[in-house]
Amino acid sequence: MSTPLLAVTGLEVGFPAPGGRRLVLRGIDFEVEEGAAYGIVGESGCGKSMTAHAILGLVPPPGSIAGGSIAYRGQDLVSGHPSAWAGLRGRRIAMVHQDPSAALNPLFTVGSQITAIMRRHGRARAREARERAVSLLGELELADPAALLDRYPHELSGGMQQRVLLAMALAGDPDLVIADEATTALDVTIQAQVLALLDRLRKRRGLTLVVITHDLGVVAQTCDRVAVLYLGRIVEEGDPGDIFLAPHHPYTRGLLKARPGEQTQRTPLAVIPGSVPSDATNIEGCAFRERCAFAMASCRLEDPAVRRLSDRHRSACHLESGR
Amino acid sequence: MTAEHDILLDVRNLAVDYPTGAGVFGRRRGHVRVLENISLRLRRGETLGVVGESGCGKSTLAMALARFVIASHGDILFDGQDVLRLDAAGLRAWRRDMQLVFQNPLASLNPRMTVRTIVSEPLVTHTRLDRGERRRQVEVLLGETGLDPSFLTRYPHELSGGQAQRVVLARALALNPRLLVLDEPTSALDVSVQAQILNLLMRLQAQHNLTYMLISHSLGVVEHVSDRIAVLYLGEIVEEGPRDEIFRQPRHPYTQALMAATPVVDPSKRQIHRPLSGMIPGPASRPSGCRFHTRCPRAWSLCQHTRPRPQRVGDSHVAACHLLTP
Repeated sequence: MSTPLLAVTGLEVGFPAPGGRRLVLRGIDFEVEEGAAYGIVGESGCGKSMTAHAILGLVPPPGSIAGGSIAYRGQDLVSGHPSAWAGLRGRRIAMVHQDPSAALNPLFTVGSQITAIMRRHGRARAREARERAVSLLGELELADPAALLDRYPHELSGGMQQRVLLAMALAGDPDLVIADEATTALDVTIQAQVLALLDRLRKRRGLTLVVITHDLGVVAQTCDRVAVLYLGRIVEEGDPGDIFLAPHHPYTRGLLKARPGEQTQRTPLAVIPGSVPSDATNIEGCAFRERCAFAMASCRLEDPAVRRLSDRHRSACHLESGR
Repeated sequence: MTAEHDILLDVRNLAVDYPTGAGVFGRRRGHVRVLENISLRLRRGETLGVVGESGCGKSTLAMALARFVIASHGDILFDGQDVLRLDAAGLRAWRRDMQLVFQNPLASLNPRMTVRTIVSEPLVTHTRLDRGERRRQVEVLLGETGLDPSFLTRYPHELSGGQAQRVVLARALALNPRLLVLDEPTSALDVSVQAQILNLLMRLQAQHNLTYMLISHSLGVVEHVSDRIAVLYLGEIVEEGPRDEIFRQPRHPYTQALMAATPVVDPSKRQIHRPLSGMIPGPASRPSGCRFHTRCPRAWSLCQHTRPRPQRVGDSHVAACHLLTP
């Protein structure tokens, strides 16, 4: 097997808390092959964005990486020198955030924000950077890219801002782009455009994508590998067919059943009772146990280890078979 | 046909304009039309889903119904009464009969008030119940929305999003309204919590014989709870009809595009590779002719100049598109 582009092993992120440390990521393992689109889904507070920030080495203080490794092309970044990480950030690994109006600086033109990244990473001259910015915005299917460079973020619609953000992510010519809820703030018809665009970029540039979202539909439509996160752990991982058509973990099944839509007209939706607890530290055994319809005695005694259900499908649950 | 007395809310040719550019000394310079020619009917006890993307006028419709923004044209009849021409006392009664619920529950709760104060506030303003009666009533309302009495002394920041939306609903129900206008009531919530709130809304509707107008960008939510659906694009209704007809046989190209753009969870049906092109125009730059022609995959010359009239395409199903002209 070739070395995966990104291999995250046993990743733990903790924050100081009274009487010790509170882990918000509790041992995350996944690998992303070069050129793949890897989806990470979960509800708010499950650690999706923290995973993204950890990969970039940007865990907000006072939090810190408490254990595990993050290997980029086989080289561990956690144990390495911080400068190695800084050298990758923006250049090899880039990120697109959820809220484009917050991620863009309102005081600078679109052009200066894109070219600043090119000049930082590519050592390009001003004119050359501008030419490359024009061709990049054109590649992102924005009309009249040269004029767009002189405009300010507030003059653009949400869909255009999101493309500008994508242009900034691509400006350093990265291998890996992490899209953290990158289409959540967009209208569905515009979201469809951006998703189709990401898919084309991936094929054309050989880009690797990590798509982080709460929207199961977005992942089903774009990714070729899916992880479901709950309270800082991957509870299930598989190919889209495994996760969406034959889910094993009760949390995955609950999420899928809770989606309103065609099969559910005016009948009560299946509900996952309660809400995501704020902290998993004090839950004995399986962190999902208190909301789980299938919880058994063993779930209290032992936090289930990840089991392989097939070559490509794994789940962290004591249940024997999917139902 | 529907008997007249079944109709609770009858909106006829409603239009709303917003002033543009305050100009020097706050003088108005012009107007933008944000809602045009809106005609809708809600029968008692039914749910009308209103879907559309940003800038389509969904929220303005809710604000116009509450008379928080002034309609420039048209009529709103509630149980036969003309809402746009109510006097002060009539308006007060209207705002009791009709309640609004918004997207972000924490933003619609006063952070300095306890849940008890929040839910009893409408009772203080609109009723003559004494303190003891109000206390009992608040407990009943919280019970109906699935919150136990321990929540009475909590403040909004101590609530999760789902709990906060339950408090908002308890407050909305305090005055026994007949119509609830729900503007994106679950958009800020996680999927599993959204399901709980949608179930609660359906149960409350059955128990209190409520009529809902549910505004949402999410086709899944609207499909789940609605009897009828209206699709809005740039301030106009492009299609309106019974839920099943809209979903099984959408007739307007925009409705079809909305459905095609909504990601489904079945990975064997990947569909978003030929999305609509172009951006959504703003209300100030609405295209001439059919508002949708700049993005419509099937537009032709007529669409650029002539506005399509709503065509009857089913028993109680209308769509405004030149392709449907017989």
